[in-house]
Amino acid sequence: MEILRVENLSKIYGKGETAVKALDNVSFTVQKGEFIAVVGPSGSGKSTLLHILGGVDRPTSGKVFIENTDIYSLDETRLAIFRRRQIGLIYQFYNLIPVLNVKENIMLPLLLDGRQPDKAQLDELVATLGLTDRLGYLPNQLSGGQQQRVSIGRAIISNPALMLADEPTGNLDSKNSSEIIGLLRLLNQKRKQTLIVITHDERIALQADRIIAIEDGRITRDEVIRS
Amino acid sequence: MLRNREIRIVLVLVAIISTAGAAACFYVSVAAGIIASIVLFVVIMVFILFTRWRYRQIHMLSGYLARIAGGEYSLDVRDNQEGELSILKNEIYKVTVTLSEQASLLKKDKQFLANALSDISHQLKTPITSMSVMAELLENENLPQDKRVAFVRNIRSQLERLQWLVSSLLKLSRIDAGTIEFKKERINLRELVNRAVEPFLIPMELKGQTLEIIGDDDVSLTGDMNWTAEALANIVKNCMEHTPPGGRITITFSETSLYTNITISDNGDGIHKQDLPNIFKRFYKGKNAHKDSIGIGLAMSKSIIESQNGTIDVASERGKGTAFTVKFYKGVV
Repeated sequence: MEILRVENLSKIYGKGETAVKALDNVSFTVQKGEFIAVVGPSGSGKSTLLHILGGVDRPTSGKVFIENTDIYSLDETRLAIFRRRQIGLIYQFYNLIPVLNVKENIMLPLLLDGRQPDKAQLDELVATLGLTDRLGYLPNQLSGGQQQRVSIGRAIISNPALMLADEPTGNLDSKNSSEIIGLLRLLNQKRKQTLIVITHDERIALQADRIIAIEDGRITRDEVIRS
Repeated sequence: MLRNREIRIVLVLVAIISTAGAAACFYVSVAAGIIASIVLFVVIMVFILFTRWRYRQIHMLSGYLARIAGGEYSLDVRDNQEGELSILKNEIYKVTVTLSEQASLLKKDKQFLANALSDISHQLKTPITSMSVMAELLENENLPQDKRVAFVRNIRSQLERLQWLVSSLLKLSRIDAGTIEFKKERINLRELVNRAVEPFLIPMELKGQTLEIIGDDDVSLTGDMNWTAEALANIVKNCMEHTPPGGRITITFSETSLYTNITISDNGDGIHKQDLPNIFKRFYKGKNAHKDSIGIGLAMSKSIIESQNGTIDVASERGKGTAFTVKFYKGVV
């Protein structure tokens, strides 16, 4: 089943002579349950692509369909709600809300919808993330690896159609990185969670089903490693 | 709308309260009574209209569900708005996606089953054919004694292989069907690993291979001792078979706050790059598979491990060796 379709995506920053083409006519599709690593040198347009897929940054031209919804045809309010329910984002620097504790940070997408999570499900998720005895802590009382685990929890709690991660291990040591990679792989295998991960980390790329390489805003390689 | 009991109750209550209120207002003054009656009437009409609108939405959703039940999975009711109704639409859509996913999985499963059946009958047919040929030859009374002994030995070894194949297939099918109850006991890793390698200690000694087990004594996991040992044993067996005499097999284990990690590695031939994604597939035989290999051991390991909330991965380099990484997670997602 097709989860994501990107059609002729371009993004140009600036105007006239100073214009920079961050993305140049990028097209691809993603099936449900795929684990994709997006690789490429810095400045190649990877992060721009991820932000556009996540509904955070509008493309200059081209379309993004997530579960057949043309997300940039939605108005801002609807796009925000769509993002909250269908997209899980994981950042390199976690972007947790500093005044909310671990439990509140994880539940945030549901709280914004005025919902309460199923207690048993939440407990199970928290146990998988190894955060059971940290629920009342604030983000600045946690290690980097723990903060990233919280942000994985926040990304998965609403059962999103698509999970996007921007250098999720970029700020972590090797032990914490392998824990994060393991968790992503587990979510992908057990929940058939569709995952797109931008990474420099070769170990993540090796875990992925498919690798998309980007250079100068274009896809230079798109290779399925395992199916 | 009036068929709903709660609406009838509300309407009766509203009628009683408004009549009483209007009557009270009339008692104060006629003008107040008239104003109150009009206001109450308008409020009640607005209330009825909105309630009808809400019920119509629910009615639409049930029509939508009926169409999904008929197999029309491509419908999309999401409207991306705030509020309970929109959340409900969104949740229905997610369930639909899951359903359609399962429907296609089921189709794939059927295809897989058909392929598996043909694979299995192929696996059974070869030894049966060779055994019946040998049985026929044995019928010949003039057959020399040494040939006779050789044929009987051959038949016996084929039978053993068949027996092993059939019992493995049975196990595998029971795991797949979910009829096996995996115990949830605290297992000490050192004990588990010792149990898993036990059957191979002698063959490994004969091949002059060294076995190294590294890990803390207090590492543990929650799972089923017998099945998990079998899963690990299949991996160890695989490593042993693909490592030349004099080679080394290393098993390390450790525990983090998320999972218990077991790595089984060898310094053997390694696995071809094209084989790597497939080695856990049932009946898959790699380029340098053992001649008696059926392609069932690693598939079984994977099933056992995944049934106990684990994952298995493999990394390999030709000529340098192979490493299997098994992780048992503490929570279920």
